Amino acid sequence: MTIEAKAAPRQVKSELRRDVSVWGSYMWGFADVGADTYVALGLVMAYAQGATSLVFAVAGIVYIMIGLAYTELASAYPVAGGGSYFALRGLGDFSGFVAGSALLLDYTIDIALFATASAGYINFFMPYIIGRDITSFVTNIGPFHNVNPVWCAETLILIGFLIWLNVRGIRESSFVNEVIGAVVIATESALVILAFLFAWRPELLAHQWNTQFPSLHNFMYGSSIAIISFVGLESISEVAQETRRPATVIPRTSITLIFTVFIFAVAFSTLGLGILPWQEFAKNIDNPVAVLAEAIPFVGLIAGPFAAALGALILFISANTGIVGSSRLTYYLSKFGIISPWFDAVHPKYKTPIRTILVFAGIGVFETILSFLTPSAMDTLANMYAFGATLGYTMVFIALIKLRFSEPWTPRPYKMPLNIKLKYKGRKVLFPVLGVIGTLGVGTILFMVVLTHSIGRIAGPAWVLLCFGYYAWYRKSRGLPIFKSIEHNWEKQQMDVLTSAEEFDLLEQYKIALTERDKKRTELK
Amino acid sequence: MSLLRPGQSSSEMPDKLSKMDYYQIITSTLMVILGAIILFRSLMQSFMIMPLLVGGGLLALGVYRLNFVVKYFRKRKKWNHR
Repeated sequence: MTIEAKAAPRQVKSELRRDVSVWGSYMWGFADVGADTYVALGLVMAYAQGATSLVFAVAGIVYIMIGLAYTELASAYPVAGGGSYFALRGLGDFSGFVAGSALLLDYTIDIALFATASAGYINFFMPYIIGRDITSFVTNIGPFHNVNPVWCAETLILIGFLIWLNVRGIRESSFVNEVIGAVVIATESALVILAFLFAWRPELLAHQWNTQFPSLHNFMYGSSIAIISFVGLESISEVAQETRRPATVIPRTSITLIFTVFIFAVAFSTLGLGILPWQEFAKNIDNPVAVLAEAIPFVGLIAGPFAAALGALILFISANTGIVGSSRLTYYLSKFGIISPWFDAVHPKYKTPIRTILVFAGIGVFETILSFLTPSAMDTLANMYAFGATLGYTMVFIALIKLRFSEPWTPRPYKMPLNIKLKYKGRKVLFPVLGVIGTLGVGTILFMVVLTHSIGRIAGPAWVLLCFGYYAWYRKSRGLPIFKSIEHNWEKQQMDVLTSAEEFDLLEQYKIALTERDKKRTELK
Repeated sequence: MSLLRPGQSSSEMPDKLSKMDYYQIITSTLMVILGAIILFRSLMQSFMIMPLLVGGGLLALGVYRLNFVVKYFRKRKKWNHR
């Protein structure tokens, strides 16, 4: 029995089904990334002030590079696991664990943050329904000040509903994503068009830019929060193992998604500063897009509540992608001996990873409760979200560069642009210049997160350390190395994945490349 | 936007445009109009980098997407003349 077989799951009898289509794959990403602006706009405005749109653009440029890296890797390695899988394959088990723990933190935070924000948009209607504003429920509980138990309870109900939905299976969840997502894209576009035509005042934007530029600290804090507007491409990679013809579908969906989200994020922030003073958004961190829509003349009366309903919906499906992502990530981690095979169990009827859904959505619930005990639940969750995302993305970039050298024969349906041809150990390698720039970009944002986020810099590493404790215990108990990698048969696995994905052209290319490599190796001997 | 289905080679030509294609043609046209309006209005005010980026970005993306539409119709015209 090989070490890999020793670490392999004993309980898995059912594999994840490939039933996510082009539109489904796109919507998994959009549901996650597209919703981020609804959360980040108010938070970023509170710090980046008159430079908010610049901050979104700067973070957006880094995000485009991250997106291109994910597109290359997810189409070349279409397996559940996303960034963690790429790190594991490129850099080894321990790096895979570090990236996995960072991304897992993000998925559980995703559940908590987006369910909280979804409830925040629902609360926009509270004064109309019960005649009270959500802030009127704020109370002090012992040493904890500004606790909002009603908002917290709403969030927990939403998470409970999502758990039920996901236990029932991806077909149902994917359907929810697709229908709601289509409505969201159409109405979000209408909102941008109407606002730019009827409400946007370039002179107000210029005034805020010139007179209310933030301090360096606030600019850095804003930039590091703005990166959360673009977190979610991981979702496409996570459902890659359930996507039909992933090598064809993923580059299409990823690249479309990257530019859609970038445009929406920069457009919303430019619109915001040209319609209202940034202070208005900072005051309404829980529903900034609804405030923006309400300010549109003629249609604001309807657009405000409509945007709030829309925000609640899209954030709800974003929280859903958090549950899906975390469950799929843990499914993969257990498959590769990073965590216990106990997590592998798939529901016999619904074919969903039931235990991972319950455990990690449960962690999301725990994080929600803890964050509501801090002065600003959303700010606390965003802090941790930024840490997990930037750490995970840094690992992904390094893995991308390493894999270009260690596995040049793997067919890549899409390659990041800007490459330099090099000779390495007698074979041709394309060195990804944009990958290096991306590493520096996301590394800088990680540095800013650590420098400026008082909660993120403690809670983030604490989570990784906690996960390390579990990882070390599990590996030791199974007789597996902690810092070294176990033996993985990547080639066989790649062939199995391409076969199950029905990517027969790529499979053929891969086999030919391996044969040529082996031939060269024999000649050298 | 390719106006082709996944897995379909460029040598094959779809007879009919799908609803999604029509949706994309409309949104691309709107992008061009909106991008031009944003550029015009911001340039009338003063030189500001962000509106230029948003307006220019929308305009460029709209033109890029419409380019595929034009190419598609040209190709279909040639195809029909065969």
